[in-house]
Order: sequence, then C-alpha cells, then structure tokens
Amino acid sequence: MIMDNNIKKTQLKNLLAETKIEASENLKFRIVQQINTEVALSRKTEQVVNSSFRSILLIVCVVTIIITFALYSIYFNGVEGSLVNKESFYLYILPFCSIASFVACLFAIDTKLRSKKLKRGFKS
Amino acid sequence: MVDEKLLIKRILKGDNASFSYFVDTYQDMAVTIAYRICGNRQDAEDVVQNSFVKAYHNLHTFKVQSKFSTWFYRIVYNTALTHIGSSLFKNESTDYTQIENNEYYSEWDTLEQIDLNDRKTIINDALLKLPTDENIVLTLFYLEDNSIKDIASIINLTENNVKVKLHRARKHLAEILKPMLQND
Repeated sequence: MIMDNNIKKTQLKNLLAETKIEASENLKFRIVQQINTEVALSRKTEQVVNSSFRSILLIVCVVTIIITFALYSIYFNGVEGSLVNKESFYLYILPFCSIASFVACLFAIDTKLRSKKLKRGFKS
Repeated sequence: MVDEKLLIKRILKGDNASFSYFVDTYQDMAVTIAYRICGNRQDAEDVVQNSFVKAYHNLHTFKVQSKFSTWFYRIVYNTALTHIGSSLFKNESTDYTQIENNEYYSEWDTLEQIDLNDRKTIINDALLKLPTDENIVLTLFYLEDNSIKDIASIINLTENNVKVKLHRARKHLAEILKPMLQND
C-alpha cells in the first residue's frame, strides 16, 4: 500500500517536474551585480557618515580650545575676578557656545538627511 | 554535499562570492514559484532578483537550524504577493480527516503515454487554469519535495490547511486534465 502510494506520488511529481522553469542566463549576473553595487554604496554611506562625524568633532574641539583660550587670556590679563563676572560670561563665553552648538546641530541634521537619502537610493 | 550553514557563515564574514552557490541552486525553483503567482516571466525574474537581494541583506536574521530553502522561498512568495498587490491564502476550517493523502487519478497514467512536448504543453495549460493558491501548493510539494510543514511555513498557513489545499489541487488538476486529454 505504501509502495503503491509512493509510485502515485512519484508519477505526479515526474509530470509536474517537466513544468519547472529555468531562469534566464543573465539573471544570476543581474543579482550579483545589484548586490555588489549596494554593498559598495553602503560602504560609501558609512564613509560619509564617519567623515561628517569627524567634522562635528573637529568643530567642538576648536570651540573648546577657543573657550579655554578666552578663559586663560581673561585670567592672565589680571582680571580673574571677571571669570565669575556675569557680564564677561555673557560677552565672551555664551556667544561662542551658542554659535558652536548651532553649527554642530546643522551638521548633525545634514548628515542624517544625507544618509537617509543614500539608503533610500539603495532600496529603490 | 555542500554545507550551506558553513557558506552562510562565510558570507556573513564578507565572502560575497559564496552567495553565488545559493543563486545557482535556488533560482530555477524561485522563478517557478514567482511565475505561478505573477503569471509572466519578466515579473517573475524581477521578483526573484529582489528576493535574492533581500535574502543577502537579511542573512544575519536566518536561523541556522532551519532550512535555507524554506526561508528563501518564503521571501520569494511574499515578494511576489507584494508585487501583484494581493494576498492569496486564507486559513479555512475544514474537516481534513476525510481527505486521503494519495488519491489516484487515471489522468496521470494517460499523460505518461503522451509525447513529452505535448505533455508539457497540456500540463502547463492545466496549471494556468488552476487557482493560483492551488498551483503554488502543488509546485512546492511536488517539485522539490517540500514537506507539509515547510509549505505551511512558506505560505503562512496551518498544516491542516495545506493538506486541504493539496487535496483540492490534485482533484482540480485531474478535472481540468480530463477534457483536455479526451480532446487529444
């Protein structure tokens, strides 16, 4: 009975096997090509993101150096008391911090938008 | 016998060339499945191309204990459905205990006696007349010996429902073939 059932299954299997479709010769090439392209582009995105991050880090370091320099020059000019002076703080430190933060935010948003755009390009 | 799990580990470590093995092994069956859903060869190959790319990018989510074919054919199936903008299968509640697993139809014997080219034409025409869901179940069950469990996993149905669909598909195919063979 089991042997008989296996023969019937094999019979239909052999009949249907003849309807199996063969893929085109260039399909494999297209698949490999697309994968290689996307892998190469994703590496480029990583590089773009990393270089933008480095730019932001550079700006933050430069601003920190400027602030430190400003503080030391105020101190060494014999007006150390002015470090705790509210007017000096608002005049020298706050503008530097504000501008630096604003520029850093702009860079961060730009990087995010660029990486999203690149990723959308892969998926389409 | 190629160790697919080993190849997958190599691909995840950056050996992209190893992915060619999977393309060579599974592309024909993938095109067949996609063709049964989409109905034309060009769309089927586009679906298969997208499926392989998706599989490559999501290889890190593949569970090594599972079969690659089951996982990949599920991607092909879902991609094809998205392509045509449809969902084919619905779970049905049917008493499957009355279904026999290996019904016999005389049409299979008659077909075997016909010339190969004519036979291919007749079977292809008959398959086109089948509902797509029955076509898919027959394709998955007979062309690569997928188990009921694997088929259920691929098309997201219960095993009982797959048995019902398979039973209906065989019966339906025989009914379609009968007048075609009589006309020959």
